[in-house]
Amino acid sequence: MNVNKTGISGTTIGLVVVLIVVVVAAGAYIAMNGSGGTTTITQNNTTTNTVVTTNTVVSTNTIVSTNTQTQTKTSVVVSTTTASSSYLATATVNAGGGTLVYPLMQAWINTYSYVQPNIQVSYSAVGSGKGISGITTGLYTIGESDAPLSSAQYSALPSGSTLLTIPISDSGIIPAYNLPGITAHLNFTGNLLAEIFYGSITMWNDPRIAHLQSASVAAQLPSHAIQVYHRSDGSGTMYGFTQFLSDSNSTWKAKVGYSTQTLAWPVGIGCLHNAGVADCIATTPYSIGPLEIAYEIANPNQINYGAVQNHYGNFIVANLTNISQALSAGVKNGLPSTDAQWTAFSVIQATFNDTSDKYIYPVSTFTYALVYQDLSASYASTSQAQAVAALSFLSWIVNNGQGTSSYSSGATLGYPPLPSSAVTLDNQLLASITYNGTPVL
Amino acid sequence: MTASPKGKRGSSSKGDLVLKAAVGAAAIGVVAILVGLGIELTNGSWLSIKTFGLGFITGSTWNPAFDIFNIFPFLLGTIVTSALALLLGLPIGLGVAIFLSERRGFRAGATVLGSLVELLAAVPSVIYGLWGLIVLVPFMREYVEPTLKTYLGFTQLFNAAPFGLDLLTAGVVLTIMIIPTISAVSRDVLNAVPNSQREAMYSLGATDWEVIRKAVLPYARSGIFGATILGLGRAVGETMAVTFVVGNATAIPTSLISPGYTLTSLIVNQFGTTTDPLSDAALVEVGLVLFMLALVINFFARALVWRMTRSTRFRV
Repeated sequence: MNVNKTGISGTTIGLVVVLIVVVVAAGAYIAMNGSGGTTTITQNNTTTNTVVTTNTVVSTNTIVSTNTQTQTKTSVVVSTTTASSSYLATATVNAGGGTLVYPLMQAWINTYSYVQPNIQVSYSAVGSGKGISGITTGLYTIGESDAPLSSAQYSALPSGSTLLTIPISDSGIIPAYNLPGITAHLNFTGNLLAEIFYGSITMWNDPRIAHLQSASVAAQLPSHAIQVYHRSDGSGTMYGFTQFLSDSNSTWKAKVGYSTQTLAWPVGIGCLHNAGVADCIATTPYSIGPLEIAYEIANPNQINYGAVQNHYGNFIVANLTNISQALSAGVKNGLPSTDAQWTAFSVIQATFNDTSDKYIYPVSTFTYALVYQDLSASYASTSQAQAVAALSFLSWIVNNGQGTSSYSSGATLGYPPLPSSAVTLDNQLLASITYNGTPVL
Repeated sequence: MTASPKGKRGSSSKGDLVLKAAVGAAAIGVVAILVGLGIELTNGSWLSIKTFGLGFITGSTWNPAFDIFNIFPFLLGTIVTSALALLLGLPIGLGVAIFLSERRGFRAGATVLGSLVELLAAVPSVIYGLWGLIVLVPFMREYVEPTLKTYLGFTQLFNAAPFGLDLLTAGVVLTIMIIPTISAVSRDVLNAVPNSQREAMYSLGATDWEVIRKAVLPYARSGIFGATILGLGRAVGETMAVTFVVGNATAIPTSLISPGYTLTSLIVNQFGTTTDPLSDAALVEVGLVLFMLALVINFFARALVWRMTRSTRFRV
């Protein structure tokens, strides 16, 4: 170190190094503490005072008029756009959860920013598990999950809290396959699918597959090994599919089970995300894999898919209508009311022994929003402005975003619309959410 | 802070002290980060360590639906793909290093070649994964693996239906990714061999190739071994490149061309889907295993290479 020649003393160099270390350490500290979700929520508390006066404006506009909305949904759309003189106050809503609904959620958020320009909703697609833990810790005002909470997750919630589980969208899972030369929809039962994915059936022309098909299709089945594909990551799509397999086949239920997490698939190759599975199937002849109906609708004619037998006995080729009908059948007896009932609830289970609905598609599931009933409680970490914003958003997506309006919505993206019975139940749930004792909507 | 008068040698003892303290703090800070990381990983995985103990590493069932977490298939996948990468990468990497360090003529070409090889290291690993999925997998599935199965199928190693997404393809992708590491470090190691060794060989009448084989390589043996272990360290930690092409099957693979799973792919696929504390802890424990593996491998490699090059300017 030639300090004397250049004139820079050791002191100066030492000072510079210390300064750099301090700046780096400070930056690291700020980065670690500034990303905590709770701090962003408290910032919005400054707007609480001004919201009180506008609250009455919200209620007189009645953005959701539950009495008339079921009849003519387009009229509700018109009424929201003419109420432009009374936009809600500025607020940011933190939401997070599963990836199944993520493309739809992005479209909703984008469209909603025109309906209510002052409200900003941010959705983090971190997975159903993180969506549930986020609502438990108060990180999100709206959590999202592809499966209702388990009993362990219910017991982890803050004491004295009531968490509402609100279906906001849904999915159907189809058995997609790539069989060169066969354009017909093959027939499958849940038990057959379980045996294929378990590895008990290995050839396409196995008699167990052939006897479910018509004679002409059975003759076309190739004498070739079945290449099984599945998801390598966990997802709500696989949760629904493996739940259906568990209900259909006791070996599957005992050995593999179902979960929103990654599964111990006995055979097959895992591809990442729906797009990965679709790509794997499209490029591999004689392959089969479970796929989300939304993906197939967005990319028609790329992959063929089969029909699944429902409990009436019909083989149903999935489309948006029969999935909606399945969901409608699933909530025939209303939504669960207690935590234990929610833990045990699923549309697949509810329709599993349904022999009266002829045309429902049996592998259909809801995806749920999770909101606390009392948003003013400390564990909800929500200001009044945020509560109003969150509920008006939820109300909008349940009533307007499902697929009967003209702009980007559930149906155009391939998500079956919520049946009207579910919409009515959802509106009742949303109306029961309170802030400081008064209903928010 | 007293200003030091110019021209006086060794006078700013206070400045020296501050500098030593600052630099020492930076060094300790780095070590603290490493130690802190280890502590956090152990802390986060404590529930899983308590529940599974050593069976976590030796058991072979990974089933989140039933809360059973054992990582032997993934450990095996990591070891096999990395070993494959080393097997294929060492000859190529060493060949490049010899070419770059031993060719006396064509200097400009050697520099360009050296830069190009190092560019391989600059490509993001996700790109390797995508390239592997789109280009390499069909190639392996249609040409390479059926050939291997036909001629070598009598061994269990190549006796499975070839679908392209398997351990072998992952090994090939990893090979390409560790060639720059091996060649760069080996080149430095080879340059560190004293010229006296080469000159002595030449004076005995040896050819170029004999000089390399008998004088240079044996001398550089431990350094090259260290370079290989560094490459191994990189191969063990590769994530996205491997996840796209390895097949992601949780059962223990029966052959090189059946789908497998690695520790890093497990974290990629599993992250975000955990719903209870035990699966969270199991995932952190996978991270802990990876961390210790990488630490041990890298430390061992660096020690070897340092021992080789400590007497020269080419300290790695």
